[in-house]
Amino acid sequence: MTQARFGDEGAFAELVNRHKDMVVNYLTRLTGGRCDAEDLAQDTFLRLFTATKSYRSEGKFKGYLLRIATNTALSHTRKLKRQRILMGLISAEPPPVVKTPQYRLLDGEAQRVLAEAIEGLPWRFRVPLVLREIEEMSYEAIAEVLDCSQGTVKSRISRGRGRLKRTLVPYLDGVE
Amino acid sequence: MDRLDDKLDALFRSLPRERASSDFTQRLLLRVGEARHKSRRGRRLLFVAVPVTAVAAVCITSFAWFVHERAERERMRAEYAAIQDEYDRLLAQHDHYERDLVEFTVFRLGGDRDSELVLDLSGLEAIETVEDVPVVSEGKGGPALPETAAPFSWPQPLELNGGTI
Repeated sequence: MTQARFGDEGAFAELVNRHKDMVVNYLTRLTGGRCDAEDLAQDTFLRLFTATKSYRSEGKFKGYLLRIATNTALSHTRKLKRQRILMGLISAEPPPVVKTPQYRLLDGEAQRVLAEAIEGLPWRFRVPLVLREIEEMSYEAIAEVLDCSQGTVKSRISRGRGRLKRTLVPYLDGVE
Repeated sequence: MDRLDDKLDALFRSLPRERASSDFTQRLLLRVGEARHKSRRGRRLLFVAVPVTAVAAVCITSFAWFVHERAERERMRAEYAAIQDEYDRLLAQHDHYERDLVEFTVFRLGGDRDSELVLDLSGLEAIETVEDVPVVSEGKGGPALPETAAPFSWPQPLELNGGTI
C-alpha cells in the first residue's frame, strides 16, 4: 500500500490482484448482482487509487477497502433508487426488477432465495451481516468498517439474522 | 431455533465464492491510466488557466481604473472651468460696483453756462459714533430711564384766543 501510495502502478496492480476476489464477492452478496458487483469493484479500486494519498496506515487495510466498497455500493443503490422513482414518475408504472444472471446461475433454489432475502434486508442489517457471514470478519473489524460500536454490530447482525430466518423458514425446513 | 441457525449458517457457507473476471486488473489499470491522464490534463489546464485568469483580472482592473480616472479628471476639469467662469463673473461684477461707488460720491446739483454746482462726498468720513444713553436706575415696573430724560407728564391744555384745545 505504501508503494502504491507513491504512484507505483505495479504495486497497485499487485494490491488489486490480492483483494479483487474478496471485493467482488462482498459486493455481489451486498448488491445481489454479479455484473453490478464487478463494476462497483472497479469503482472501489479506482476510488482507492485516488484516495491512496490520504490513506493512513492506522487501521487494517482490508477494513479500509471494504469501507470504500460499502460506500460505493451504497451510492450505487441510492442512485438506482432515484432512477426507479424518476422512471416511476415518468412512466406511471414502476419498471420491473430485472433478475440478474446470478439468480439463474445459482444451482440451488435455497441459495437463490437466500441471495434474494439478503437483498431484501435493509442496508443497516445487510452490510454487517454480509461482512460477518460471507467475509467472516470479526465484530471488531466490522465495527471499524462501519465506524460504530461492537454492540451495535452484534445487535444489527442478530436482527438481520432474525429477519432472514423468518423469510427463509419454509426453505430452511426443507433444507437438509 | 438452533436448528434453523445451523441451517442458515450452512446455507451461507454453501454460497459460492464469486471471483473477479480474468481481465479485471487490466481493465482497472486502463481506467486508472485514463483517470491519471485526465487529472494531468486538468492540472495542465489549471497551470494555464490560473495565470491567464490572473493576467485578465489585472488587465480588466487596470482598464476599469483608467476609465474611472479619466472620467474623474474630466469631471474635475469641468468643475474647474465652472468655478473659473463664476470667478470671472464675480470679478466683473465687483469692478462694476466699484466704478459705480466712485461715481455716486459726486452729485451734480445744478449749474449754468459758466459754472457747475456739484457736491463731492468723497472727502466725507462716515459718522459711526453714537452717544451712549446713561442709565440712572432700574425700576421694578418698567425700563430704566435716562437721567437726562424729563419726567413724564400729560400735556397741558393749550389756550388759544380764550378757548381751550
